[in-house]
Amino acid sequence: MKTEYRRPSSWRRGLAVAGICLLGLVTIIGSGGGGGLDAVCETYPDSCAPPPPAPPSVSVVPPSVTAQVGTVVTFMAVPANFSGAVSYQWRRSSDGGTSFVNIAGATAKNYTLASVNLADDGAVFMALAWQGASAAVQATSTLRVSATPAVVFADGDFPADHWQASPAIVAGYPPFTHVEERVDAGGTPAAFRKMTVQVAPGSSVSSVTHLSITSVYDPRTQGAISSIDYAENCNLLSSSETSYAESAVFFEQSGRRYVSDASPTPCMSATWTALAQYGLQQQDFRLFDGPACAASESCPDFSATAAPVRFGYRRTTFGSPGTTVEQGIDNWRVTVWRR
Amino acid sequence: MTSLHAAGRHSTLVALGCIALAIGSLVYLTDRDGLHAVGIPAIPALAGAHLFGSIGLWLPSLVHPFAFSLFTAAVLPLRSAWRFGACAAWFALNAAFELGQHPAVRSDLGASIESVLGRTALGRTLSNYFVGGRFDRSDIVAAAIGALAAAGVLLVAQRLVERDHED
Repeated sequence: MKTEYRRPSSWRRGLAVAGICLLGLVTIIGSGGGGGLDAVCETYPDSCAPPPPAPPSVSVVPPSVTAQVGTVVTFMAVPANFSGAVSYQWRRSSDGGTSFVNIAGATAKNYTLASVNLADDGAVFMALAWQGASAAVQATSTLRVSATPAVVFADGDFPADHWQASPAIVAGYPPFTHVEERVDAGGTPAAFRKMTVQVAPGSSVSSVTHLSITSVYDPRTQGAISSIDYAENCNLLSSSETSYAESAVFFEQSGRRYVSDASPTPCMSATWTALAQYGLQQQDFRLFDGPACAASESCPDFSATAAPVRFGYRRTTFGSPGTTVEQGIDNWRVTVWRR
Repeated sequence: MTSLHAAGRHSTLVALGCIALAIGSLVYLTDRDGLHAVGIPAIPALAGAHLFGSIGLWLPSLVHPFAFSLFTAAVLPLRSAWRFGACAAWFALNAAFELGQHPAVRSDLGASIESVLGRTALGRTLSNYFVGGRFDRSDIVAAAIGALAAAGVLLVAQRLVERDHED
């Protein structure tokens, strides 16, 4: 007796076909395409081949400088990514960098002005660097000359009662802990100011501002501010791959607080690193907190009738949320150049 | 009334497809060093054996449309022309996936896939298939041979069915 073969219904047949199609697609895609590393390298050559060497470049230290009449100023060319001996030529511009002329005999790595004068104010100096027959690379530095000596505020000892620290709490984020203390040894040299900052929970950054009680500049008695130079040494005492810090110039004036952009060099290592910013002018500072400025106000005000300015610094810490970062500051220095 | 032989031929088609898939899987186990297809484990005793030689380069591309054409035909009516259509469809699908690995199109295709599917597991897998794959004309030829071979099997099976009916 023959057994009747029952044909599957149409929907079951469709379901089976769909399942076979799905399985077929999975096996095609799962086979990996038959290619391999070579195919990936053809499409993304940077993923496989070593990156090409960085091109030669040069920078000038300092990138900007203000000096008093009669003082010595030295510019240094810092070459990078050259494979051998480097040749130099210094050039000078008296029209703000539009056109340059070679300085006769200025072919060394450093160029020194033995005694700057007011005629040098605003001059732009360019360092050309090249190797053999290669094209030259260049970098510039602007010189400003002041007729009056600068007023310098500096602290390398950091008495605890000379400084006020305030955390910058961002709306929507919880407060974070911060502890500041003077440490007798381990600075560059001797004492330094140690800051232990918690990265705000739920965030990757914490910011603490520090004002010096004793570093007050009064334009009404000391003169209008032309520009500000800043320097410090920083040390990320608890060095890690995920933490680093930045410093910026910070000051208080008439109930408002202002901050500059961060120093171009971050604090990333557990060794003392020099940070510096040169030639900061009024327009280089933005309102950090305080009452909004009216249209008729100058914020900040660097004029000869301006209110006193109390200087400090702002330290911003980056890291994993909730982690604690130990860091140090030494040789804090603000140089106020006057008109 | 269709005899039990028809069901048996359906099973035969499935069995042939499974045997073909097994051979194709063996290629990945023995000849594709360092490449592990999804679902095929690496067996150290077999890896590097290179049983198939140069044939192993395109054999999977032949096996896949052959096997899945037979699987699809097995669930379709015995005398349906759709069975041969399935062979054509599986060839077209394999050829399309192979063409998608061509250097002229794979980068844009990968980017389009990721823009539609996002950086999901499916999106990345599919994108990587095209971008990381290697276009080979012989794979398209192999897919055509596999589909034709499946069509040949189906033709033989259909002739057998017709002979059963005559009997």
